[in-house]
Parts: sequence; C-alpha cells; structure tokens
Amino acid sequence: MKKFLIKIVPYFVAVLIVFAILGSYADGNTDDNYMHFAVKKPQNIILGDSRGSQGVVPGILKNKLSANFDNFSLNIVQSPYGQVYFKALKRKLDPETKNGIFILTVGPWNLSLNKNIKSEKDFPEVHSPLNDMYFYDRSPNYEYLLKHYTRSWFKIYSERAEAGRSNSFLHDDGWMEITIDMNADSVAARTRVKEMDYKILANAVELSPARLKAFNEIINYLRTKGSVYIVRIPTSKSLTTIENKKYPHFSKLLKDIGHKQNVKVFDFSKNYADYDYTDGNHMYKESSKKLTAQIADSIVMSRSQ
Amino acid sequence: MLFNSIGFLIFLPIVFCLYWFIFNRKFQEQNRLLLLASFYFYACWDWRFLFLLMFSIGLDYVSGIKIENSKTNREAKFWLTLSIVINLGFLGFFKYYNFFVESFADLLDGFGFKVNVWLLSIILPVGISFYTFHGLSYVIDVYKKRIKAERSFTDYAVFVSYFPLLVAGPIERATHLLPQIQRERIFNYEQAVDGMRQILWGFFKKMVIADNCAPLVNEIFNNYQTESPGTLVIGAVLFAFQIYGDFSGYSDIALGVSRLFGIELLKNFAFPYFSRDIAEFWRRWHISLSSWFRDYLYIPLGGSKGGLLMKVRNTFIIFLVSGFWHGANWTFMIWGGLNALYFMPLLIMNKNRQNMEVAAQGKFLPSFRECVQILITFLITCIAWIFFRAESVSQAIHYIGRIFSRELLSIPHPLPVKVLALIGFMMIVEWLNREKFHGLEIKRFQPWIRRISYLIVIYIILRYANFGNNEFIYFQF
Repeated sequence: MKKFLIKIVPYFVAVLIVFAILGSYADGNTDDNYMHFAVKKPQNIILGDSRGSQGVVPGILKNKLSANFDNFSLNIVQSPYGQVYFKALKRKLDPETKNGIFILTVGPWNLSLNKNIKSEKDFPEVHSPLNDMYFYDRSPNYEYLLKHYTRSWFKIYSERAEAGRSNSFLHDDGWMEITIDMNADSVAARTRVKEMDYKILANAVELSPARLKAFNEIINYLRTKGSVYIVRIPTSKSLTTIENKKYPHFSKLLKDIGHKQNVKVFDFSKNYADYDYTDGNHMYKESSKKLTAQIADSIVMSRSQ
Repeated sequence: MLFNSIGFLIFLPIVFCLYWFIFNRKFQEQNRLLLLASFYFYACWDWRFLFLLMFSIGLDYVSGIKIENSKTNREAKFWLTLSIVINLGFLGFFKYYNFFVESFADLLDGFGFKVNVWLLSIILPVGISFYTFHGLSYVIDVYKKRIKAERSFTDYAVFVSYFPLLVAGPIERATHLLPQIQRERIFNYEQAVDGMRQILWGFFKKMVIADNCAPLVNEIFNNYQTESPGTLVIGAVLFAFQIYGDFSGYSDIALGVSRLFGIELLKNFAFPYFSRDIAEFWRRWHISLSSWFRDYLYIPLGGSKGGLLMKVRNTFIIFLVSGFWHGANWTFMIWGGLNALYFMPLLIMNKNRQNMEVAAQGKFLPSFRECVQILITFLITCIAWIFFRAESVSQAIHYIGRIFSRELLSIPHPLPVKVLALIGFMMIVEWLNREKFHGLEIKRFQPWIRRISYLIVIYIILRYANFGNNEFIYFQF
C-alpha cells in the first residue's frame, strides 16, 4: 500500500502543479465571466445584462466621478434581476461600503421571464456561475476555473491577453470590450439576426413579478449603502421599436419605481440615434464611452441639485 | 456523480482511504462502507430515486430467499415470477410507458381513431436498466440453483449497487461478483497499479476521444440535410468513435476503480473495432450485456439446439431485444435488426465462430485480408450506428441516402484533423495492446518507458480533454 501511494502521489501532485500554473495565467481573455470573480470587492458597482456589460465603461466613470467602479453585469441569461443576482451582489460588494454609487442598467428583457416558467428553480440563471460561486475576489480564482472553465486549461495560457486579444476582452473593471468589424453591411447582418431573436423572445416572455420584486429588493439593499441610479440603455431603432411594441409603458414603469424608491432614473432609450451599435442590441465601444460620460454627467448633475 | 467530475475525484480517494485504512479489519465492515458510498454516489444524481433502487434490492433479496426456501417448485416459480414482473414492470413503466402509449395511439390513429394519451413527464432513473438486470440474473440463478440465496442483506445490496458499475455497468453476475464481496480482500499492488492505468486510459477515451467527437457529431447530425456526403461519412465514423470512447472509457474507469478495492469486474470491451466479422464484434462489444442476453434469453429460448431456423429466430430476438433495451425508439430496434441481418450470413454458413482469437495474433501487423475484413466490419457497424444516433428512423434513412451520392468521395470540409489524429493515436495504442486486458496495460515495459507513457497520456488529457461535465451516453440507457 505504501509503495502504491508513493508511486501514485507524485503524478497527482504534478497534475495539480500544472493546473496551478496554467490557472495563474487566467485573465480577461479566459472567458466572458472570469474577471468578475477575480478582482477586489468593489464599493461602486454597475449591474445589468450584456447591454450594461458592454455599454458602461468603469474607466470613464472613474475619471468623471473620482471613484473606482466595477461592472458586474454578465448577460441576459446569467444576470437578469432576480434572487440569484441579488445573492451574488451581496457576496460581490465590499461589506465596508458606505457611500457607494450603484448604477442599475435595466431593459425590459432583464426584468422578464419566459411565460412557461412557473418556479424559481427553473429560472435560467439557476445555472449561472452567480448561483454557485463562493469566492468573488480571488486571483487566480481556481474555484471559478474548476467549476466553470470547461476547455483545456492549456488554452488559458495560449489564449491569454499577452498572446493576443480575442474580439471579446473582459477588463479587470468588468467592462466587456468588443472589437468587431463595424462595416455597415456586417452591422446590418448582425442586427437582422438580433431582430429575429428579439421578435421570438418578445413572444416568449412577459414582465416577471418575481424579477420586479427582486429589482426592488436590490434597490432597497443598495440604498442602505449609497446612491442608486437606474439607467435605461438605448438600443438601435429597430430593437427599440420591438421593445416599445412589446412593452409600451416600460419607461413609465421605471419612473414609477424610481419615484417610489426615491432614486434617479436616467432613460436614454429615446436618444438611440446618438449612438452606434455592433448588432442593434449592444453599443459599440466608442458609443459606450460617450454614453458612460453622459451617465456620469447626469449623476453629477443630480447630486448638485 | 460522474466519474469525470471534481466530486468523484474527491469521493474516490476518501472511500479508498477509509476502505483500506479504517475499515480494513473485516471485509463485512468494508462492505458496509461500500454500500454507504454507493448509496451516496447514487444519491448525488437524484436522491429520490435511491428509494427505487433500495426497493429493487429489497425485492430481489427477499425473492431469492423465498425461492430457495420454497417447498414446491410452484412456490419458487411464484416468487421468481413476482420478482421478474415487478422488476420489468418498473423498467417498463419508466422506460417504455411513453413509447407504448404513443405507438398505440399512432396505431389507432392509422385506423381513424383519435385518442388523447396521458404521457409521463418524469426522467428515467439512471442505471435502472443495469441494476434491474443485476437483480434479474440473481433471482434466475437462485431459481436455477446455480447459486445459493444470499443471506447477508449488505452483501447482496453491495452486489447490486456497487458504485463503479451502478449506473452504466458492466452488468455483473451474482456468480462472479458475490463471491468476491463475501471474502476478504487483500490490497494487491500490481492489481491497483494496473487499475490506475486502466482508469487513466478510460479518462483518455472519454474526455479526449468521446468528448471531442461529440460536438462535431452533433453539428453534422443536426445539419445532415445540408452537409456534403463526405462530411456525413466523417460524422458517422466520428460517432462510432464517440460511442466507443464514451462507453468503453466508462467501463475502463469502472473496472479500474473497482480493482483499487480489490474487486475484479467483468470485462466489457475487448477492442471491438479490430473485429474481422460482426460475430467477433459482438463478442467484443458490451460483452457483459451480450453474454447476459445469451445466458438469460438466447439459451432459454432454445439457443442453437433446434436447427437453423431456430438459430435465426433466436438471433433476431436477442438483437431486437438488445436494441429495445437501449431505448424506447424504433431507431434502436432497427439498429438491433440490422446487426442481426449482418449476422445471418455467418450464422447460415456456420462461420460465426471463425474469428475467436484477436486479429494478427502474435504479429505486429495484420494481413491484407484481415485489414479488409476489419475495414468492412467497421463500415457496416458505422451504418448501423447511424440508426443508433439518429433522432428518428426517417432521419437515419435520409442520412444514409445522402451519403451514397456522387460526391461521396469529396473531401469533407472542415476536416477535423486534430480529432482524427487523436483517434489514430488511440487506435495505435490499442492495436499494440490488443492481446492485453486494456489499452494501457504496459506492465511488460521498462519502468522509464511506462512513466513516459503515463506522462504522455496525462499531457494529452490535460491538453486536449473537454472538461465540461459531459454525461456518459450510456447513462440514458
């Protein structure tokens, strides 16, 4: 038995060392979520889905508001407003937070739910990393890699940032930077696909009381730790049309929530023509910087009132 | 719990250490540990179905004793029938209820009667086909007086629920496994080391071969209407290796893990893709199921004793039942039927036992004739696998129909070179060890060659494996 263990243990140790070394190279190129779980816990946070993840640039906010922000938006499937996101937020946020700034980006879709889903255990975000992660501030975060990185760990090394960025790069501050062909034809082609997707989505979902409840609970929770701002991020004209047709009173709903909760609502959805989009749904990075500057200005203005 | 999960990598060393260091004083204590570990292993998948497993164990345990204690043959037959009916009843209810109800409704629909049927929307309890067959073989063996009824509930429960084989086999026999459970196990260094080699090779086949083939196969089968014939051929070939890597990989891990506990399980695969005819293939593929059907169905039906017609009938029956065992879908039935058809020429010409030894035994390379035979056997097997993989019979027929066109010999695009190279590596290693117990049985080599070999295989797994928790295909059966 002793001989067996002596022979076998070095192989396991060697494998563990290889994994440890490869994992240490994990960065914003590893996947679209890793960096959300591998940075210091923030005191100022941006929430939302992929629109928020790509549309709000923490670096711009930092310049304008003199505060470090973390964009903790994942995507529509993994981080719609709900109890899973709320629970993850509590783990993510620095417990010492007192005068934080919290930007909740919201659209109709991250407050909606498939009509056929009745039970919270069937919500799509149940399978999100947000639902099973304990550590949010470990670097390297082996818990995340073991649970959610499904490719060969050698790819962590071969596809790391220094080796060349892919078209999606998750910055340390949580901003998802997309580098993509912005030729009008390719944008139009991607937009057509998105339109189709959202038309199908619009037929399948409806505003969810459970999500609205969680959204309100998140606001209540964050208000005890600082100032909350609700931001509706614009989308292209065609996507806005689909949204307005499905949810004609959504902006009013946000205003009502803002009024009841005594938080500011910045609705940019009417200014859709001011920005460029990669696929109609997500803002192009230059426009994201522009929008973020406007959000920061709005916050500054609201604070001075 | 999946073998290729973090949970199992923690679970196994814990059970191993408890087994050999804490519970090593008496084999009964080790059995109790194995039973608890097996129940925990099963409960990790879905604890609710643990009660079904326990009921099945309890039923067969009691039936075995009642059969043995019966004063009349009639009484023994009653308990045997009761056990068979309830076991097959559960299997039928969970696995075949929807199939029968839908088929019946379709039949009535054909006669112009519309009926609304009530379908079950529950999942199939994992491993039910395997532990049901364990139990059935046990009560039949007790009834046939091949074995004594087991009086120790723990020992019997370990036989049925032993975690390495619980969810996807191999299908064990009480005559083989129970005696091992009932005697003291002494740690055997050679057995344990070779078990580790077998586990390593199993992980290679599952995580590198099967899991890399899976996305390509899914892509090709999902888009078979637009893919070129060359690509469809590649899809069928990749599926052949996917299911081989998946299932034989599982079996290797199961056998290897069991050897760490000093228990040898039945061999389930013996390099089937080196078979020179379909009869040899079926002696080498899923051996424990084929031999189960041979012993508990083919022979009771009369086997080969009643002349050619009887042999043909019985062969078709076991292949069709084997297909049906795999799933409640006509595709599996056709897969079984097709294999039976392949078997017929050999059966009729009485050549089904002509290739009993491994190909090119004692030689490095096969003869040209053997190469052709191996290739033909593999190709007809691939055609049958298309039915096994397809969602429906019509999809399989269209798939095969599209293959046989003028562009059949065109180069598929994109050609999955990396995956084919990995398959090539596996086949070379297995060819070199085809006379051994498993693909990585290299104990005859110098230690430094062995160590380098392990490191190469470990490197390939780390480099090319898919670490997503992909379930084993045979979990659905």
